[in-house]
Amino acid sequence: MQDDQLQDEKLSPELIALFASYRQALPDREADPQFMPGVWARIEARRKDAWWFGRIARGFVTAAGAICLLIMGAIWLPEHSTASLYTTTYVDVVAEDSGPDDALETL
Amino acid sequence: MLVEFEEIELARSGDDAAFSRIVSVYRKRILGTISRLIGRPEDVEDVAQDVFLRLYFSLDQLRTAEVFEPWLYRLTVNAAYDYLRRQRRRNESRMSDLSEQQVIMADATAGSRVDLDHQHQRRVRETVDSMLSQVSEDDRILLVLKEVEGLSLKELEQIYHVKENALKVRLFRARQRVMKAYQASEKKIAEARAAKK
Repeated sequence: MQDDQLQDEKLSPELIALFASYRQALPDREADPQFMPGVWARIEARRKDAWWFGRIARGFVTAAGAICLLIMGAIWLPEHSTASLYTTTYVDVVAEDSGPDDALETL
Repeated sequence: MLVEFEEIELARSGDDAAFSRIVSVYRKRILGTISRLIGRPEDVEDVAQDVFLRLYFSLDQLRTAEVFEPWLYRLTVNAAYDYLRRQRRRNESRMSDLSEQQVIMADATAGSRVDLDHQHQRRVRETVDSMLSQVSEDDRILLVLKEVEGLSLKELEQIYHVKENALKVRLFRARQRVMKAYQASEKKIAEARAAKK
Protein backbone atom coordinates (compact mmCIF):
# COMPACT_ATOMS: atom_id res chain seq x y z
CA MET A 1 0.00 0.00 0.00
CA GLN A 2 1.31 3.43 -0.97
CA ASP A 3 2.38 5.81 1.78
CA ASP A 4 0.52 8.72 0.20
CA GLN A 5 -2.65 6.71 0.05
CA LEU A 6 -2.29 5.86 3.75
CA GLN A 7 -1.81 9.49 4.64
CA ASP A 8 -4.82 10.50 2.56
CA GLU A 9 -7.14 8.15 4.38
CA LYS A 10 -8.46 10.58 6.98
CA LEU A 11 -11.60 10.39 9.03
CA SER A 12 -14.65 12.33 7.92
CA PRO A 13 -15.08 15.77 9.56
CA GLU A 14 -18.15 14.47 11.45
CA LEU A 15 -16.12 11.65 12.96
CA ILE A 16 -13.25 13.96 13.87
CA ALA A 17 -15.73 16.25 15.63
CA LEU A 18 -17.39 13.28 17.32
CA PHE A 19 -14.06 12.00 18.66
CA ALA A 20 -13.19 15.49 19.90
CA SER A 21 -16.54 15.65 21.73
CA TYR A 22 -15.86 12.19 23.12
CA ARG A 23 -12.53 13.45 24.50
CA GLN A 24 -14.33 16.36 26.16
CA ALA A 25 -17.11 14.15 27.49
CA LEU A 26 -14.56 11.91 29.19
CA PRO A 27 -11.88 14.19 30.64
CA ASP A 28 -9.05 12.98 32.91
CA ARG A 29 -10.58 12.32 36.30
CA GLU A 30 -9.55 12.07 39.92
CA ALA A 31 -9.54 8.67 41.55
CA ASP A 32 -11.84 7.57 44.34
CA PRO A 33 -10.22 7.82 47.83
CA GLN A 34 -10.35 4.03 47.98
CA PHE A 35 -8.31 3.69 44.81
CA MET A 36 -4.86 3.50 46.40
CA PRO A 37 -5.83 1.12 49.23
CA GLY A 38 -7.49 -1.00 46.54
CA VAL A 39 -4.24 -1.17 44.54
CA TRP A 40 -2.28 -2.24 47.63
CA ALA A 41 -4.94 -4.79 48.60
CA ARG A 42 -4.59 -6.36 45.15
CA ILE A 43 -0.80 -6.33 45.38
CA GLU A 44 -0.94 -7.99 48.81
CA ALA A 45 -3.42 -10.59 47.55
CA ARG A 46 -1.13 -11.38 44.59
CA ARG A 47 1.90 -11.59 46.88
CA LYS A 48 0.05 -13.96 49.18
CA ASP A 49 -0.96 -16.12 46.22
CA ALA A 50 2.65 -16.10 45.01
CA TRP A 51 3.84 -17.04 48.52
CA TRP A 52 1.42 -19.98 48.69
CA PHE A 53 2.32 -21.04 45.19
CA GLY A 54 6.01 -20.86 46.15
CA ARG A 55 5.40 -22.97 49.23
CA ILE A 56 3.43 -25.56 47.29
CA ALA A 57 6.10 -25.61 44.55
CA ARG A 58 8.86 -26.02 47.17
CA GLY A 59 6.83 -28.81 48.80
CA PHE A 60 6.54 -30.56 45.46
CA VAL A 61 10.27 -30.20 44.80
CA THR A 62 11.12 -31.56 48.26
CA ALA A 63 8.68 -34.46 47.83
CA ALA A 64 10.05 -35.20 44.35
CA GLY A 65 13.62 -35.16 45.73
CA ALA A 66 12.66 -37.52 48.54
CA ILE A 67 10.94 -39.90 46.11
CA CYS A 68 14.01 -39.83 43.86
CA LEU A 69 16.24 -40.69 46.81
CA LEU A 70 13.94 -43.53 47.82
CA ILE A 71 13.91 -44.94 44.29
CA MET A 72 17.68 -44.62 44.02
CA GLY A 73 18.03 -46.34 47.39
CA ALA A 74 15.67 -49.08 46.33
CA ILE A 75 17.75 -49.67 43.20
CA TRP A 76 21.17 -49.35 44.85
CA LEU A 77 20.60 -51.35 48.07
CA PRO A 78 19.53 -54.72 46.57
CA GLU A 79 22.45 -54.51 44.15
CA HIS A 80 24.96 -54.25 47.01
CA SER A 81 23.29 -56.53 49.52
CA THR A 82 23.08 -59.42 47.01
CA ALA A 83 26.50 -58.72 45.52
CA SER A 84 28.26 -61.36 47.68
CA LEU A 85 25.91 -64.03 46.33
CA TYR A 86 27.16 -63.53 42.82
CA THR A 87 30.89 -62.91 43.45
CA THR A 88 31.57 -66.54 44.38
CA THR A 89 31.55 -69.22 41.71
CA TYR A 90 29.53 -72.42 41.76
CA VAL A 91 32.69 -74.47 42.32
CA ASP A 92 33.65 -72.37 45.38
CA VAL A 93 30.25 -72.87 46.88
CA VAL A 94 30.37 -76.63 46.26
CA ALA A 95 33.90 -76.82 47.71
CA GLU A 96 32.83 -74.99 50.83
CA ASP A 97 29.78 -77.13 51.23
CA SER A 98 31.54 -80.49 50.64
CA GLY A 99 32.19 -81.60 54.25
CA PRO A 100 29.63 -84.43 54.64
CA ASP A 101 30.28 -85.81 51.12
CA ASP A 102 34.02 -86.11 51.86
CA ALA A 103 33.21 -88.06 54.97
CA LEU A 104 31.06 -90.45 52.99
CA GLU A 105 33.74 -90.99 50.36
CA THR A 106 36.40 -91.87 52.92
CA LEU A 107 34.11 -94.46 54.29
CA MET B 1 7.95 12.49 32.13
CA LEU B 2 5.85 13.22 35.19
CA VAL B 3 8.29 11.57 37.60
CA GLU B 4 12.07 11.53 38.01
CA PHE B 5 14.05 8.55 36.73
CA GLU B 6 15.38 8.05 40.26
CA GLU B 7 11.85 7.52 41.53
CA ILE B 8 11.31 4.75 38.96
CA GLU B 9 14.65 3.18 39.84
CA LEU B 10 13.69 3.23 43.53
CA ALA B 11 10.36 1.57 42.74
CA ARG B 12 12.17 -1.01 40.63
CA SER B 13 14.44 -1.83 43.54
CA GLY B 14 11.39 -2.58 45.69
CA ASP B 15 10.70 0.77 47.38
CA ASP B 16 6.92 0.66 48.00
CA ALA B 17 6.74 4.35 48.92
CA ALA B 18 8.29 5.29 45.56
CA PHE B 19 5.77 3.06 43.80
CA SER B 20 2.91 4.77 45.66
CA ARG B 21 4.21 8.16 44.55
CA ILE B 22 4.33 7.00 40.91
CA VAL B 23 0.74 5.75 41.15
CA SER B 24 -0.37 9.08 42.65
CA VAL B 25 1.25 11.02 39.81
CA TYR B 26 -0.05 8.87 36.93
CA ARG B 27 -3.43 7.68 38.17
CA LYS B 28 -5.41 10.70 36.90
CA ARG B 29 -4.02 10.33 33.38
CA ILE B 30 -4.41 6.55 33.37
CA LEU B 31 -8.00 6.76 34.63
CA GLY B 32 -8.81 9.25 31.86
CA THR B 33 -7.20 7.11 29.16
CA ILE B 34 -8.96 3.97 30.38
CA SER B 35 -12.34 5.70 30.53
CA ARG B 36 -11.94 6.72 26.88
CA LEU B 37 -10.63 3.31 25.85
CA ILE B 38 -13.38 1.22 27.45
CA GLY B 39 -16.22 3.76 27.52
CA ARG B 40 -17.73 2.46 30.76
CA PRO B 41 -17.18 4.80 33.73
CA GLU B 42 -18.32 2.23 36.30
CA ASP B 43 -15.42 -0.13 35.50
CA VAL B 44 -12.64 2.41 35.01
CA GLU B 45 -11.18 2.18 38.53
CA ASP B 46 -11.14 -1.59 38.43
CA VAL B 47 -9.19 -1.65 35.16
CA ALA B 48 -6.85 1.11 36.42
CA GLN B 49 -6.08 -0.90 39.55
CA ASP B 50 -5.30 -3.83 37.29
CA VAL B 51 -2.87 -1.62 35.33
CA PHE B 52 -0.97 -0.62 38.47
CA LEU B 53 -0.98 -4.20 39.71
CA ARG B 54 0.62 -5.26 36.41
CA LEU B 55 3.06 -2.39 36.70
CA TYR B 56 4.13 -3.42 40.22
CA PHE B 57 4.87 -6.99 39.21
CA SER B 58 6.54 -6.14 35.91
CA LEU B 59 8.76 -3.23 36.95
CA ASP B 60 11.77 -5.53 37.07
CA GLN B 61 11.29 -6.24 33.34
CA LEU B 62 11.57 -2.56 32.46
CA ARG B 63 14.86 -2.10 30.58
CA THR B 64 15.44 1.56 31.41
CA ALA B 65 13.54 4.29 33.21
CA GLU B 66 13.47 6.31 29.96
CA VAL B 67 10.88 4.01 28.41
CA PHE B 68 8.65 4.05 31.48
CA GLU B 69 5.74 6.03 29.96
CA PRO B 70 5.35 3.94 26.78
CA TRP B 71 5.65 0.89 29.04
CA LEU B 72 2.84 2.16 31.28
CA TYR B 73 0.72 2.93 28.21
CA ARG B 74 1.35 -0.56 26.92
CA LEU B 75 0.18 -2.05 30.22
CA THR B 76 -2.89 0.22 30.05
CA VAL B 77 -3.65 -0.91 26.51
CA ASN B 78 -3.26 -4.58 27.48
CA ALA B 79 -5.55 -4.22 30.51
CA ALA B 80 -8.16 -2.36 28.45
CA TYR B 81 -7.90 -4.96 25.70
CA ASP B 82 -8.45 -7.81 28.20
CA TYR B 83 -11.40 -5.95 29.70
CA LEU B 84 -13.00 -5.30 26.30
CA ARG B 85 -12.62 -8.93 25.28
CA ARG B 86 -14.27 -10.08 28.52
CA GLN B 87 -17.07 -7.57 28.01
CA ARG B 88 -17.58 -8.58 24.40
CA ARG B 89 -18.03 -12.20 25.41
CA ARG B 90 -20.45 -11.17 28.17
CA ASN B 91 -22.50 -8.71 26.15
CA GLU B 92 -22.46 -10.27 22.71
CA SER B 93 -26.19 -10.86 22.73
CA ARG B 94 -27.23 -7.33 23.68
CA MET B 95 -24.74 -5.44 21.53
CA SER B 96 -27.07 -5.53 18.53
CA ASP B 97 -29.68 -3.53 20.47
CA LEU B 98 -27.35 -0.68 21.39
CA SER B 99 -28.28 1.59 18.52
CA GLU B 100 -31.92 1.25 19.38
CA GLN B 101 -31.22 2.00 23.04
CA GLN B 102 -29.26 4.99 21.92
CA VAL B 103 -32.22 6.29 19.90
CA ILE B 104 -34.60 5.78 22.80
CA MET B 105 -32.23 7.56 25.17
CA ALA B 106 -31.61 10.39 22.74
CA ASP B 107 -35.33 10.90 22.22
CA ALA B 108 -36.11 10.68 25.91
CA THR B 109 -33.58 13.36 26.79
CA ALA B 110 -34.19 15.60 23.79
CA GLY B 111 -37.15 17.47 25.27
CA SER B 112 -35.72 18.06 28.71
CA ARG B 113 -33.96 21.35 29.52
CA VAL B 114 -32.36 20.07 32.72
CA ASP B 115 -28.63 19.56 32.54
CA LEU B 116 -28.49 19.63 28.74
CA ASP B 117 -24.72 19.66 28.69
CA HIS B 118 -24.54 16.52 30.78
CA GLN B 119 -27.07 14.81 28.55
CA HIS B 120 -25.16 15.83 25.45
CA GLN B 121 -21.98 14.33 26.87
CA ARG B 122 -23.80 11.14 27.69
CA ARG B 123 -25.19 10.97 24.16
CA VAL B 124 -21.73 11.45 22.70
CA ARG B 125 -20.36 8.69 24.92
CA GLU B 126 -23.15 6.34 23.93
CA THR B 127 -22.79 7.11 20.23
CA VAL B 128 -19.01 6.62 20.16
CA ASP B 129 -19.19 3.55 22.38
CA SER B 130 -21.86 2.02 20.17
CA MET B 131 -19.86 2.79 17.04
CA LEU B 132 -16.61 1.44 18.47
CA SER B 133 -18.33 -1.69 19.70
CA GLN B 134 -18.87 -2.59 16.04
CA VAL B 135 -15.15 -2.79 15.29
CA SER B 136 -12.59 -5.14 16.86
CA GLU B 137 -10.90 -4.42 20.19
CA ASP B 138 -7.63 -3.85 18.32
CA ASP B 139 -9.18 -1.23 16.05
CA ARG B 140 -10.99 0.43 18.93
CA ILE B 141 -7.85 0.80 21.03
CA LEU B 142 -5.72 2.01 18.13
CA LEU B 143 -8.33 4.57 17.05
CA VAL B 144 -8.86 5.90 20.56
CA LEU B 145 -5.11 6.26 21.12
CA LYS B 146 -4.64 8.05 17.80
CA GLU B 147 -7.85 10.03 17.29
CA VAL B 148 -8.97 10.67 20.86
CA GLU B 149 -5.78 10.61 22.92
CA GLY B 150 -3.91 12.31 20.08
CA LEU B 151 -0.79 10.15 20.32
CA SER B 152 1.73 10.52 17.51
CA LEU B 153 2.88 7.65 15.30
CA LYS B 154 6.23 7.70 17.10
CA GLU B 155 4.52 7.24 20.45
CA LEU B 156 2.34 4.48 19.04
CA GLU B 157 5.43 2.77 17.66
CA GLN B 158 6.89 2.61 21.16
CA ILE B 159 3.66 1.23 22.60
CA TYR B 160 3.00 -1.36 19.91
CA HIS B 161 6.64 -2.23 19.15
CA VAL B 162 5.95 -2.19 15.40
CA LYS B 163 7.36 -0.16 12.52
CA GLU B 164 5.68 3.08 11.43
CA ASN B 165 4.55 1.67 8.08
CA ALA B 166 2.85 -1.31 9.70
CA LEU B 167 1.09 1.10 12.04
CA LYS B 168 -0.06 3.25 9.14
CA VAL B 169 -1.58 0.21 7.45
CA ARG B 170 -3.37 -0.81 10.63
CA LEU B 171 -4.61 2.73 11.15
CA PHE B 172 -5.77 3.00 7.54
CA ARG B 173 -7.83 -0.17 7.87
CA ALA B 174 -9.19 0.76 11.30
CA ARG B 175 -10.32 4.15 9.96
CA GLN B 176 -12.06 2.50 7.03
CA ARG B 177 -13.87 0.09 9.32
CA VAL B 178 -14.94 2.74 11.81
CA MET B 179 -16.24 4.98 9.04
CA LYS B 180 -18.28 2.07 7.74
CA ALA B 181 -19.59 1.42 11.26
CA TYR B 182 -20.42 5.11 11.66
CA GLN B 183 -22.38 5.19 8.40
CA ALA B 184 -24.23 1.99 9.34
CA SER B 185 -25.00 3.36 12.78
CA GLU B 186 -26.31 6.65 11.34
CA LYS B 187 -28.47 4.76 8.89
CA LYS B 188 -29.88 2.56 11.65
CA ILE B 189 -30.73 5.57 13.82
CA ALA B 190 -32.42 7.32 10.89
CA GLU B 191 -34.46 4.19 10.12
CA ALA B 192 -35.46 3.71 13.75
CA ARG B 193 -36.55 7.36 13.97
CA ALA B 194 -38.53 7.06 10.75
CA ALA B 195 -40.22 3.88 12.00
CA LYS B 196 -41.16 5.60 15.26
CA LYS B 197 -42.92 8.44 13.40
